[in-house]
Amino acid sequence: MKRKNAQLNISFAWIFAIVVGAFILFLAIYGVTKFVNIQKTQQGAETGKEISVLLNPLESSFETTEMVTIYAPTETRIFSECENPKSSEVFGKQKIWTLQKVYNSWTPTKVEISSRNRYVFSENPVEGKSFVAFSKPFEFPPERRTDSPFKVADLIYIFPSDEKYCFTEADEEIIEELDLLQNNSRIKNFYFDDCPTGSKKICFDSDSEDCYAKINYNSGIVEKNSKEVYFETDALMYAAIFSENSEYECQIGRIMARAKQLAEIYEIKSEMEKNQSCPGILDADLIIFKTLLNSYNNSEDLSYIANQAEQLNARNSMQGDCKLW
Amino acid sequence: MVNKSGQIKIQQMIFMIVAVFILFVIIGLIALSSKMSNLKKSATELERENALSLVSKLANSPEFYCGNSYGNQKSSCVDFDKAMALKNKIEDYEKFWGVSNIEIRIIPNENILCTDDNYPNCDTLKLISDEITGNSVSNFVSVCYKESNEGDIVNKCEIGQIIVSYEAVQ
Repeated sequence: MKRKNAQLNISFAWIFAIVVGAFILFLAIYGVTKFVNIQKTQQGAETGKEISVLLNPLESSFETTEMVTIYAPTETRIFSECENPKSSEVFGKQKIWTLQKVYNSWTPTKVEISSRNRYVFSENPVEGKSFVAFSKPFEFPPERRTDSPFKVADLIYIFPSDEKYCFTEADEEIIEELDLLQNNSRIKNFYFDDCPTGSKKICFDSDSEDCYAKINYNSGIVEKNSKEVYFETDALMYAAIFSENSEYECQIGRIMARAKQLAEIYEIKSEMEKNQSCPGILDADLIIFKTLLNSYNNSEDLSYIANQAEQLNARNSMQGDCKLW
Repeated sequence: MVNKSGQIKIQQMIFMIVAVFILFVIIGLIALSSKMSNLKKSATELERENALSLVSKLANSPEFYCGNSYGNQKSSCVDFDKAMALKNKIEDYEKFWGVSNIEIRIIPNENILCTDDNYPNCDTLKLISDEITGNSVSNFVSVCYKESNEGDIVNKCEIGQIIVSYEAVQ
């Protein structure tokens, strides 16, 4: 009798209830955790898509007009990735995804939002609760030199809204443009010569040591992180300043791929307009332009392409009623 | 007797546990389906917002804009000749804007579909597909093209509409 009383008296019903109860609890906790993760992923995906949609109005403008502030619901990291053009994806891809800080941890999964018509230049990632974005059309040749440029794409630049960039010894026109841009938008991120502490210094034609980026404006070179990339036009100079070198090179490859597609459209248009008595004198130049674009390798090749584009533009300007663009 | 009552108790408990389990599964399924329907709704809404913001700016993109072809640079002006040229290489551009179709109509519209044979004697250019798919949003633009009149080139500009179609998420 004594031995029997000392035994733990748990009936089968209790053991069964504990096992099944534990199983149900485990399933419930697993389900809730999964649900919360899906929720976080969904929020990240929605934010990514929303950012992508918000960038639409920045595109397809004739000039740089305003900067916009994009507010995120919580601390957010925006990642952008460029995929090079290939035979199945002639324009390459711009991928954007966001990670968000929820309950002090970053969302576990990424959902990429891909687009083919966007060219985003930013650090990778940009982090903050709000971001500043502005755009500038990229056209051959530099916008100031002709009245009918060959527009290729709108470039979008993104940086955190608390980031400060200080341009030292910059060209007067650059200062005017950036100043107008931030005055129109009532956002202050750009400083000129008088650099506030903590600002990223963009040095023009200077050998100063503490420069975030060094610009050799006349040679069209931006040096950042001890690496050089080449640019034509201010739009590409900003692109090199606001993005990482490898991303910059990839995006320029995509832009050149679009320029090639546009050259082909103009070739077809020229052929069509021959029926309307247009002489089609740009045909040979367009073929050379396309050949140069086809052999584009890296930003060092930009100057040859820009020279040909300049010639193309000059001829187009002389076409009177038969201008192709 | 004792055994029998114990068995009944266990059976009752099993039924109870199974019932509770099924109840949780049903609640979970209802929550999931409501979540899914909300997700589809917000995905479709985002597609619509994308189409809306695109249609307002599309006329100024390099593939459509008039540039200086028809005199001075014009805003919201679609070069119909260029759009027709674009249709000839649309296979490269099919996914470019991330919408299911882009259509340009000259107003008034008799729905004469543009082809290589009848251009420019037509008033509707369907770029990606000849079929109307999904929902659509539109914007008014000017549509310009060149015509030949007794050997002279005439720039013609008319009122038109650019229509962007997008698929609702099923």
